[in-house]
Amino acid sequence: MPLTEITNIDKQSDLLLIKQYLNNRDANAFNQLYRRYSTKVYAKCISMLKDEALAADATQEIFTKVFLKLGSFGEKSKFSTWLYSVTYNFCIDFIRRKKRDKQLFTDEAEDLPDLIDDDEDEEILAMEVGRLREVLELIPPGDKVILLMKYQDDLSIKEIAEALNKNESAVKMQLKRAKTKAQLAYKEKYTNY
Amino acid sequence: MAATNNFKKMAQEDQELIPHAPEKVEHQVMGVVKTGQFAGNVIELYFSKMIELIMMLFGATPSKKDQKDSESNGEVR
Repeated sequence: MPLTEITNIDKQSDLLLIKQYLNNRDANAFNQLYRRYSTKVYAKCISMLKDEALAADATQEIFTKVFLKLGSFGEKSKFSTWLYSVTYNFCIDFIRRKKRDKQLFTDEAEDLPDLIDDDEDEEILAMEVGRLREVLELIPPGDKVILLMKYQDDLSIKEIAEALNKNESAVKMQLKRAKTKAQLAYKEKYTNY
Repeated sequence: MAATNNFKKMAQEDQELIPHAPEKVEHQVMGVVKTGQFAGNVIELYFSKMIELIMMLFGATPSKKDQKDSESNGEVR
């Protein structure tokens, strides 16, 4: 491929690359998408699965799935949002298969104290990174995913609902419970320090 | 949203610690993509011709457009 073409393809938007792939079956366009996002997807898989080999396999399966479903990408959301949804759903399914007995989301019937006001995100966002990392390991994986989608990937409630195939009010409730759970885990682990 | 967002900082740290997905993953993914590309090309090139041939076996005659296309491609019927 000529150098100018490579430079141009580097600057193209995700949507243009997708169209280029779908219209011309241009493998270079898909390769560019892979290179743009594979590190982020791989990091998310490691964060969720805690195993580099599993994360590598997951990254491969996620991109293969994305390649096979690219024709059905509706352009309703950004490509990155769609890709991260596929990533999180893949990891949730993997964990679900692996640990059938473990809770994925905080049980909605569980009686949690109402620690967090809807607008009070500062405390959770300001947790020191090492502690935040530990707290995220102490809550159910589904709750971790919902917090990562909201605060790391900046997905809207609507986008999270679409990604997790839930309605928006269920997501709002789940998010509130995940924050409460994280805050409780933090207090339990670090209050005595 | 608050100015401090340590979720972002955590993601940044993760990416610095894990710079790239293993190269073999890229090879395997691109292998699937190239196979798909090849299969797509084969279908596009030959599937329509196969359908046309089957139709002709059942007695259909090629359309004038197809005849013109074939003539312009230098094919002899």
